[in-house]
Amino acid sequence: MKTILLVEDDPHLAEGLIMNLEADGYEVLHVEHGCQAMEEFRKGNFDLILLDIMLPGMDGLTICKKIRAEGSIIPVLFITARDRADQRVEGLLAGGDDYITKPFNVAELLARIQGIFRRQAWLAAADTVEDRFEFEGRWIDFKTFRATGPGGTFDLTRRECMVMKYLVERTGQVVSRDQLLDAVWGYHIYPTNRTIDNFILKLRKVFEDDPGQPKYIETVRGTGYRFTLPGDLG
Amino acid sequence: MTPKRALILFIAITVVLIGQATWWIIFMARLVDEKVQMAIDLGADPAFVDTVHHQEIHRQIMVGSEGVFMLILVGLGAWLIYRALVRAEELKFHQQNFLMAVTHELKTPLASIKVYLDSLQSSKISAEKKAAIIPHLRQDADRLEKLVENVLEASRFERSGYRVSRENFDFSRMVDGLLEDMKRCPSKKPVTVKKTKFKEDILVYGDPAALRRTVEAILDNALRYNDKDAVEIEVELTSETPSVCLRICDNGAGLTRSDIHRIFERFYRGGENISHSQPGSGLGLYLCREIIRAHGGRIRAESDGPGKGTCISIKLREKLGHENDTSR
Repeated sequence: MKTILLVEDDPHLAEGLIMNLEADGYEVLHVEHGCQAMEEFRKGNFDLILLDIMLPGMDGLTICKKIRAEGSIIPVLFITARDRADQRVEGLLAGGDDYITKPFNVAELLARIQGIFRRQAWLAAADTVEDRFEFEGRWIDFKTFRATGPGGTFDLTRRECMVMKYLVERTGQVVSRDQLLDAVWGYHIYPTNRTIDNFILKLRKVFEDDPGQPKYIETVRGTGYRFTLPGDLG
Repeated sequence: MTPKRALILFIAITVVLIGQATWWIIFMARLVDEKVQMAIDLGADPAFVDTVHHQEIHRQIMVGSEGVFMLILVGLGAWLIYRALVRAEELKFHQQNFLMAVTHELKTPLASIKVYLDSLQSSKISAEKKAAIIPHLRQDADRLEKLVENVLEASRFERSGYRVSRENFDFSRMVDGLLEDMKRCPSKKPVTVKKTKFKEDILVYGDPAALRRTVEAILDNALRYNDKDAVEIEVELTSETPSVCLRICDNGAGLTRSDIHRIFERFYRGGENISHSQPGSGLGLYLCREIIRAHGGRIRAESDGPGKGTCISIKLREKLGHENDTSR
C-alpha cells in the first residue's frame, strides 16, 4: 500500500481528501503545520507528498526545496490556490513533480497521483534500458540521478533523467516535444512546450563536448529531438 | 514610478535646490561687496557708502529669506510627492496581496466543497462518513458567504460610508454569547477564555449586527493568528459612563510596532510575505475600525511585540433612552 503525506491546513479539505485517498487504497498521514511536515517527512517513509503552499510555520515551496536539498527524490504534488502560470513554474522549479490548483475534482487528483506513480515506475523499470547507460565514455544512472560527461559528474533532477531515458529508449528516432511532455510530465502544465528546450540544454551541457554543436542530442528542426550514437543511423 | 525612482528624483531635486540657493547667496554677498567697493572707488561719501551697504544687506536678507522660504516650499512639495508615491506603491502592494489572499480564501472552501461533493457521489465512501460531511459543507458555504460579505461591505464603505441602524441592546449579553459560541465550536487546539472583569447588563446604543461582527472578527483573529499549543483569551468589559470599554487579549502571534499603527488599514496584513503565510483578506480589522468609527467610538491595538500576544480595545458610547433611528 502506498503511503501519502498530506500537508494541508484547511481541516475540511484535508478531511475530504483523506476520505477519498483512503477509499482509493492509499494510507494517508495528515499534518497541518509546515514544520510538522518536515518532521514527519524525516521520520516516515512516504511514497508521495501532497503539499499545500500557504501553510502556517513554513510555506510549501520552502518545504519542497528543503526536501530536495536533503537529497530526497520523493514525488511532491502541490495542491494550491495559486493558479498563475509563473506560480506553477515556481512550484515546479522548487522541486515539485506536479501541480493542481484549487478547486479541483477528486477524480483528476487521483489520476494525477496515479500518473506520478506510473512515471516513477517507468523511470525505475530496467526492461528497456539498464539502470546505468554508458556511451562514448559518458554515463547516466537512472537510479541515482547522476551523470558523467566531459565536464565532470553532475546530479540531475528526476525530470532531466526522465527526458534522457525517454530519448535513450528511442535512440535514432525523432521524439517530438509533445511526446516528451506526455511521457515525462503527463500533462500540459507549462505555458509552452519550449520549456522542454531548457532540459535539453542542461543534458547537452552534461554529455556534449560542445553544447552549441550537439553530437548526441540533436535538434530536429520544427519537430523535436533525436538521441544518436556515432555510427547509428537509427 | 517606483518608490526607489521617486526617492532618487526627490534627492536630485533637493540637491539642485540647495545648490541653487547656495550659489544665489554667494552671488548676493559678492554683489554687495562689489557695490560697496564701487562706491568707495568712486570716492563717495563714507556715510553714503554706509547707507548703500545697509540697503544692500537689507535687500540681501529680504531676497535670501524669500529664497529660503521658496526652497522650503519646493522641498516640502517634493517630499509630499515622494510620500504620495510611496503610499500609492504600498497600496498597490497590499491590493495585490489582498487579491492573492481573497483568491486563497475563496478557493480553499470551494475546493473543500467540491471534494465533499465528489465524496458524496463516490460509491467507495461509507454512508456514515457521507452523513458527517453535510454540516462541514454548510460551514464552508458560511465561510464563503462571510468573505463575500466582507468584500462587498468594504466596497460599500469606500463608496458611501457606513450606515448604522442604532438601537439600545445588551452589549454584555452579546459578547458573552459570542464567547460561549467560541467555547462550543470545535477547535484545532485547546482554547481558554477568561473573563477578568466583565460587567453584566451594559447597554449600548448601536447596530447590534455590526458590533457583533466586529467582536466576532477580533475573536476570530485571536484564534487564527496564534501559533501556541493552546490559545488563551482574556476578555474585559467595563463601563465608565458614558463609555464602554471592551478589551480582548490573546497569547498569539503579536504585532510589530509598525503593524500596530497599520493593522486597521485596508488590505494591510501583519508581516510582509502574505503569499506564504496565514490566510486572511486584510479587510477584517479595517471593517472593525469603520464600524466602530461609525458608532463614534475608537479601536486600538497593543502588543509587546511578535510572539507576545495582542490586545484589541474598543471604546463605545454607552447610551440609554434613545428611540431607534438611522444615522451615518
